Amino acid sequence: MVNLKSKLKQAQKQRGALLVMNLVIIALCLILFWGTIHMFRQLNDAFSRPAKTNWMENNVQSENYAYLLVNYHEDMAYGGLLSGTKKECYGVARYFEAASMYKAFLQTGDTERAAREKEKMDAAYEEMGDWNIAADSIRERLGLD
Amino acid sequence: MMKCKYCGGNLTLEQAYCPHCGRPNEEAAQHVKDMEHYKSNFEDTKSDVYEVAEKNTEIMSHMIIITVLVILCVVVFVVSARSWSIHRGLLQFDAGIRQSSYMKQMEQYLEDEDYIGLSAFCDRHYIRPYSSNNNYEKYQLLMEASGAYRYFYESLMKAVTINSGNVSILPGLYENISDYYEQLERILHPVDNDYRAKQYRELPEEQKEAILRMEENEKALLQTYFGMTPEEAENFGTMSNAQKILFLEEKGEVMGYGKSEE
Repeated sequence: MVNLKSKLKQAQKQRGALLVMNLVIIALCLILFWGTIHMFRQLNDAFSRPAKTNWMENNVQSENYAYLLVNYHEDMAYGGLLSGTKKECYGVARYFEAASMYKAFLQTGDTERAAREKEKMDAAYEEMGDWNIAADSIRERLGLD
Repeated sequence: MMKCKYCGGNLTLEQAYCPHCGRPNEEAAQHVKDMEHYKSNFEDTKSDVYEVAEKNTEIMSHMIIITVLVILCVVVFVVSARSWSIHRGLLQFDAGIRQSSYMKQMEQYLEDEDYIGLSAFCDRHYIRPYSSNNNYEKYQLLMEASGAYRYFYESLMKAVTINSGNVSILPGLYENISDYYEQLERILHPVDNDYRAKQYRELPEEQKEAILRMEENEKALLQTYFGMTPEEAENFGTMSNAQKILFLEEKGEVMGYGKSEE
């Protein structure tokens, strides 16, 4: 009788331990699932940094040309994406950069380099596509006639 | 071999009755009873042992699963936390392998006078001159200078094109312009015991020219977009950091940066 009681207690303890372990396993599985998603997101952020097209378009639309330029340089360092709307956004960035330096060289009387920047502006204007309406805005922001 | 207690004949434990007198062999009966008792105990113990072993196996397998899951969780969280370091490490490794093609690209940027592109390229590919077994050391000053020039230019353009709603960031931008201008100046006019002094003397001519051109561009940009005279732009480099920032604030105020259009 005594033997049976102690066996019953032991069996109950073991069942309790198994239940707790099962709960721990479920919790660890959930943590691992969430952690794996987080890990892939982090790796994706770290390994793919080209600017999204809509960021660049937003910068063009809100005339944040300096920030557009930052996106452009980072993108080009990644190799760039020479198609579609992004290519036109690159054109706007190049136009802005060339225009800013064109004005600076005109101001300091460096006509040779100013002429080179003007050529870059003209080439970039061709790449701007539908965004060539930004050219006027850029000239106005930079104080270029 | 034993003796029958009644007739004294020889008996074995397996014989329930004496083969000589036919009387019951009581010791054999006791023996059988004992054997059955032992057998029953044995079977009980055996089933207990199997039951306990099975339970222990189940517990052990759960513990193994928990251990494996914990290890996987640790690995996943370490990789998450170190993803940028892993990325940088891979980029550095790549930069080490592709030295000749990357240096060719850097020379092209230099030829095109695209110093900002050069800086962005070096940043993107994590090209660092400090690692061993690489030939990037000869580009160290050029990379530092192009980085300073790039951030100077970007900060200046952000200040020039700032919207009135973002005026709060102007002081930070002026600080950046001052800092990055000073960085370039330290490369061009290093203090004698600075490591840059020796490196600058040993720079190839085209790199020296490129760094000088960056300085010229910076002065041109300050004259154009902050209304400085050539003399003021020339003296800008001799001011302290605080003086530079104040000067930029005054000039920026005159140029109307950050003011709403009325």
